[in-house]
Amino acid sequence: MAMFSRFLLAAILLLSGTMKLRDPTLFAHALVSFRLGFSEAFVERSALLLPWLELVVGGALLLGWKARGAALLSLALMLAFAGGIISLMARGLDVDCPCFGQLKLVCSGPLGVCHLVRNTVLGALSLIVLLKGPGRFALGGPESPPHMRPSS
Amino acid sequence: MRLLKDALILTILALLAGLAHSMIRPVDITVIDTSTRGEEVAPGVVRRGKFLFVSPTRAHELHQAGLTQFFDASSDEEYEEGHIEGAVHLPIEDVSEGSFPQALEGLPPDMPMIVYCSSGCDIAQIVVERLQEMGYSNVMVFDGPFDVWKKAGYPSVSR
Repeated sequence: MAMFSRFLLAAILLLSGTMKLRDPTLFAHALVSFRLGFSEAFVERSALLLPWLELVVGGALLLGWKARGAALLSLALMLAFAGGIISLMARGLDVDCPCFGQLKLVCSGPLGVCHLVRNTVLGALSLIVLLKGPGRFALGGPESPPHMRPSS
Repeated sequence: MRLLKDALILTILALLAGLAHSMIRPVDITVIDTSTRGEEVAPGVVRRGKFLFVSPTRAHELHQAGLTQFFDASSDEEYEEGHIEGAVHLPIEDVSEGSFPQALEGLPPDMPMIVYCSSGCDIAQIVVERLQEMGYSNVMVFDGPFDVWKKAGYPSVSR
């Protein structure tokens, strides 16, 4: 279960990061559409830093290297994205999902309930890896969280 | 503790990669707040930053006159769902750097154009910006999503 969650999450994060980096301008403009008062400089930097964070976290999960740390970051990302979606919905703003560039994965149309559910599923996958460790086929072997390690 | 250390290492790696990327190829955008009033330059046309925004009423008049080319910057699915009558589909990936979309073939550089989209309408601004970079000088952004046009009962095509 942990290995399956890790690979699935890795694939989605790698896809997401790659698609955002293919057209960072699109992602930057989507961030502006959130109307949260972000400055131009912040948006321009985030348009590159966030996709790279997804790529690094996705890569780490794929390899099983520092997988629990990656899962923690992935969970934080999902919570931040969920916060953004809820904020948009509360303000009645229609913003196209910049999640995978122009690619629509499961959900289409403006950010809404479908994206929130998708995000919750990804958050749950992150939590599984965080709590259970990376599972099999991980670089450095299956790393267990402290409460699951055998006592010596 | 180790968990936080690992997360921090990964964050630093991402920061370094992002900074290196921004030094090699920075992202340069212009933030246009479409909720601001803007400066009126002609009836139904306001300037906000470097873009001209055309009101739905004025856009409809231009549509009726038949001298303006409308472009729909929405996704394939949204375009098929419904679009302004006569609008040509011009999604953002068609105007990515270095490509020349078929939709523009034969159009003179001074052809009046209006670009709109269905939701998240900053996409229309990016398309307008790229059209301007290609040399099209008479391009405006439709001030609102396609829904505004449709609700006004202006001519549209629906699936």
